[in-house]
Amino acid sequence: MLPYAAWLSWVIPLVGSLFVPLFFRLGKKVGEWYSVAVVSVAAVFSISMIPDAWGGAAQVIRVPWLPLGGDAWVEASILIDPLSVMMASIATGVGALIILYSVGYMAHEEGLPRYYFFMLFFIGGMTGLVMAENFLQLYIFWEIVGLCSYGLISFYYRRKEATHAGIKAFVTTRVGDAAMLIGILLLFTTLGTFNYFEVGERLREALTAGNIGVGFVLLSMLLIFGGAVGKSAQFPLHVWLPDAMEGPTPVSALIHAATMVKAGVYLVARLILTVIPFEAFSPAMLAEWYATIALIGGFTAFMAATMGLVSNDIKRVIAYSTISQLALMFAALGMASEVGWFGGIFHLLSHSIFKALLFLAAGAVIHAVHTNNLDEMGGLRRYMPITFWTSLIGVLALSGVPPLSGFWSKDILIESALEAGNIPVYLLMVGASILTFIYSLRWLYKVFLAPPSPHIAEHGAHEAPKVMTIPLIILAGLTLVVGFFEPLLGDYTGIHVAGPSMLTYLSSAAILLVGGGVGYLFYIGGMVRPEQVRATPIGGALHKLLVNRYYIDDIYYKVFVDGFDRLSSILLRFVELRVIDGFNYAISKATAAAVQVFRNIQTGESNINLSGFIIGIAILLLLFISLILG
Amino acid sequence: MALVGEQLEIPLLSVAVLLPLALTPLTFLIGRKASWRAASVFSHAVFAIPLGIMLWFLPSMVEGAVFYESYDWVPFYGLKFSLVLDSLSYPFALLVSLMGILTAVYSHKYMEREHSLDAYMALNQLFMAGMLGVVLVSNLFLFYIFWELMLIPSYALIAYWGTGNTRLVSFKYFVFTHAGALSLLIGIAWLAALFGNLDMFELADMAAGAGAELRPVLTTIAILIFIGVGIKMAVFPFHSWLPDAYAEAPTPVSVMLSAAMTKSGVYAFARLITGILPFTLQDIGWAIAFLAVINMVWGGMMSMVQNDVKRLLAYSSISQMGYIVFGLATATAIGLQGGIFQTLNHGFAKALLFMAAGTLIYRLGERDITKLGGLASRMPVTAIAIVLGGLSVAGTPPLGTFISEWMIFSGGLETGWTLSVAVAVFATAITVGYYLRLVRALFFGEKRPEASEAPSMLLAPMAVLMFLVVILGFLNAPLLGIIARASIILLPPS
Repeated sequence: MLPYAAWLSWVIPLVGSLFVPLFFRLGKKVGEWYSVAVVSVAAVFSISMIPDAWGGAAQVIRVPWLPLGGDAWVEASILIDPLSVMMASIATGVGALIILYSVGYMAHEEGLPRYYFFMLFFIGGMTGLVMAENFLQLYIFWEIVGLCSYGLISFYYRRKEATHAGIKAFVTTRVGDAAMLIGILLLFTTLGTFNYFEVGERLREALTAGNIGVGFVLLSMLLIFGGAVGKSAQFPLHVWLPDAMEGPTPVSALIHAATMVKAGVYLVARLILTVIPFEAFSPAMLAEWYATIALIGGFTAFMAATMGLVSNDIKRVIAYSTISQLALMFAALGMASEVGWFGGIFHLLSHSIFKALLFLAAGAVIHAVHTNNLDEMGGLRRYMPITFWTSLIGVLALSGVPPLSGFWSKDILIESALEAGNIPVYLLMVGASILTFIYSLRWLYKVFLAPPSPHIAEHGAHEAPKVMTIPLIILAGLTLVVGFFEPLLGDYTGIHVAGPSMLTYLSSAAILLVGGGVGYLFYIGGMVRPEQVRATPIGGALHKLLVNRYYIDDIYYKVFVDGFDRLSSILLRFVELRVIDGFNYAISKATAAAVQVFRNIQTGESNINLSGFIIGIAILLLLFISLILG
Repeated sequence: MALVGEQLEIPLLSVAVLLPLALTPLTFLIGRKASWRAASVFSHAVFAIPLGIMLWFLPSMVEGAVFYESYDWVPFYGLKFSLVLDSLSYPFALLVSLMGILTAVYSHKYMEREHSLDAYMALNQLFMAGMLGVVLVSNLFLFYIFWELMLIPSYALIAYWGTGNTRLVSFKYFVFTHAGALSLLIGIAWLAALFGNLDMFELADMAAGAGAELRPVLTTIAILIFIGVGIKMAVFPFHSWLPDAYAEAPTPVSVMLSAAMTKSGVYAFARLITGILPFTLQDIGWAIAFLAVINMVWGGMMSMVQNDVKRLLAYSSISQMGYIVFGLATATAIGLQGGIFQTLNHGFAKALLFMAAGTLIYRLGERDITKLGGLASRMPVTAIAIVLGGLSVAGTPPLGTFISEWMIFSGGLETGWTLSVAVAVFATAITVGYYLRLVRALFFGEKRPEASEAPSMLLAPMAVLMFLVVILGFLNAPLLGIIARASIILLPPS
């Protein structure tokens, strides 16, 4: 480990981001390469920690942070273990490649200092998030990355859709975060600490002592899982991620594919590894928690994949795919077994690489043809060979075709469901994987293989510049080899799982056969035309349902956005202004009216005034006399 | 909780409070004889004195020192002129003196097109002196005098330099806060009569030693005091003066009202209710917390549907005061600590937002957010100010407000108000919603391309506040340490 790597890996990009505007003053090139350099340095620091975490070693560093009066402190703490170092390396390593790619992709945009500031700040925040060893720090970084996500989704701030998508992402994830914050604070007020290890220990002690019940553990863990649902775009908070594609493509690749959306998966993996390990909290005890995670995962995986089938936006297809793949990881984590945990993070690793690759490839295509619409593409294989071949690797990895990385990691996911005997979730996972192959082939076909659209046929397209293709090639190369690193990852995490069973291999074969077969029939082979399916009543209705995303967005807007807005307006008009404020004015009017009554006495005639004066004196005299005499 | 501390040899506290007060006529005269600009510069200098004194005390306050001054005033009635600077009054005094100088500098440019500025500068100075007095005196009689002293100039400031129907708005403001002050007066007079003492610290000991038979009376007193400070803090349903006053006051006065004056209510709550009658909170705390939760949600919902930028910020203040009051009502050390820290965070952030709104009004003469847009590239500093202030108010880590909010929520959970805390946490999503709406409406899209950045005299105070908003998230340990000490002293852990 390089000195202070555990701190510097995230402090360097965080602090470095502040100087981005300064370097852009010196020149555009200076600013861009400064950003690349900062993230590369952070990547070196992150990767240098790998030997220290090798074999599952965990190291904690704690320093005092917030005073609570007396000797009580909230500590800032850092954790160096296989999971945190792996995530940090992904965030900074993939981050460095994507920043490099941005130099080409964003070359002609305005507002670059803002872009690089947010990107660097994000990378620092994400690395800090995974290196933290306490919930408060986690939450702080959790919100920092959410903020950067907002800023970058809204990057093209002149476009209404972009600013709207930014708000949607921020508010939707905030709902999950609110649940998570409550969970964290429940743990803090009950146990008096935020540190993962201490929370785990004290939870166990309190359980043994009978101070808390299992229900408390379940409740707080479920609330914290709420944050993961929002951040990783799982049902029912999945609605923001497809819209987040309004941001620049490198942002989608880094934040909405490789890193930030993985934070939820990371969090659940972290809880299982560090806070509620299997040895101390048996899976049977927290069965409901695990079952919830598995079910939400399985369901989201399938649902998102169906929506990916019909989208016509080159990036949204990949976004649905991301939701679906994240959900598979959750499903595996929910199996409450070492196999499931290992499968979850192995898939996380391989997905980070091949999904970043797919997004960057999509970016290269958009860069060339200036549209996101799949129908306006086609035939790009001829013009963009590097992008095509790297995309092909990405698509095959995503679909789980051997020997690419996705095949190996997906096998373990399926194996974990079979091992746990969770048949409903197993079926959902297999279904989702079949659909994955289909929409991937559709995507590949429509972009690269279909007959070119009139525009492309006429003007052609150019391959992306080197600064963009080099990251593509590096990521494609990684995708090719990462699958074979499974035993190495086992050594690294200290968790070894047996090879998948026969049944898993059969499932994989079935997925590839069915998915590939359907994909071939409809797209590559062109034997059945999708329009024919849409022409049938059932197919048409289904298509409409999917294109409208099951109407979930519409319902959310009707109830939570418009409904809330209307309720507030009604309350403002009738309660705030009429009742509460009206009451004040009513009091003042009533006072004025009461005074009017007495005003009639004040006629200003001296006769009446004098007689009143005399009567008053008389009364006072009488009182005085009665006092003296009585 | 008898006062243990050091008597000051040099009467620095008296200077901090009385000098701005005594120099008010001079400010006015300079304005009359020379020019309002000279008066303004003179008042900047006057404002710098309390701030300098407060900063000078910072190292010893971090150490945990307590300073006091006491002079016989009317010996016949046993009345003393006594001031105290302890861990509780220090954060507030710092806030007030800092906001004083910042708004004075801001006024210098912002108000230049207005009339009779000599009087404005003098009244502004008086206003600030009143607030500083409120947070520094340790005698209930003086406390009430300063409490009223801050009301009268602020009334005049709204009435003479405000916008819209100023007569109605300023009168409403006056009647509301004055009614509150009367309730407060009854409360403290009753308290003083009951124990025959006016010293806050001696009263605290006496009340703690009072028998059970006095409990109902003391609870009634606490309620009376709460109504008084509650109106000042715009607690639902006594909040309806606030949107009018904040929206129609001249912007520097809005800044002062939101960042400092309502915060004096927080101080009074902490000093009088938590400090003298902490046990009453066991009986009435839940009711206060209930009102506080309504404040959060109600203020948020009302903000959501405002189009006037200042009115939106005003309702947002109501919502945020809810968090502060909630923290105080928990009667836990961590909740109180959060409430006081939130006071500072919100003070700086809301001042920043009002100042930014002021630059929009200054430059564009427009405050309807639906008619503004496309300003980010033209007014970058203002844009950053609004984004930063909004994020801070929305409790976004790593800014300071997040730290104070989790402390407030922790306090609520410690008291066992889980449901209220859940509502409070979800209400932060509303906050995010209306701020992002504001940010989007002001800065995105393209509607007003003719805008240009505000003059640097307006931006300088905003820069200071931006710095504070950011720095309080990271380097907050000294200040949090002071606040933590105050909370532990007021509410020792059982």
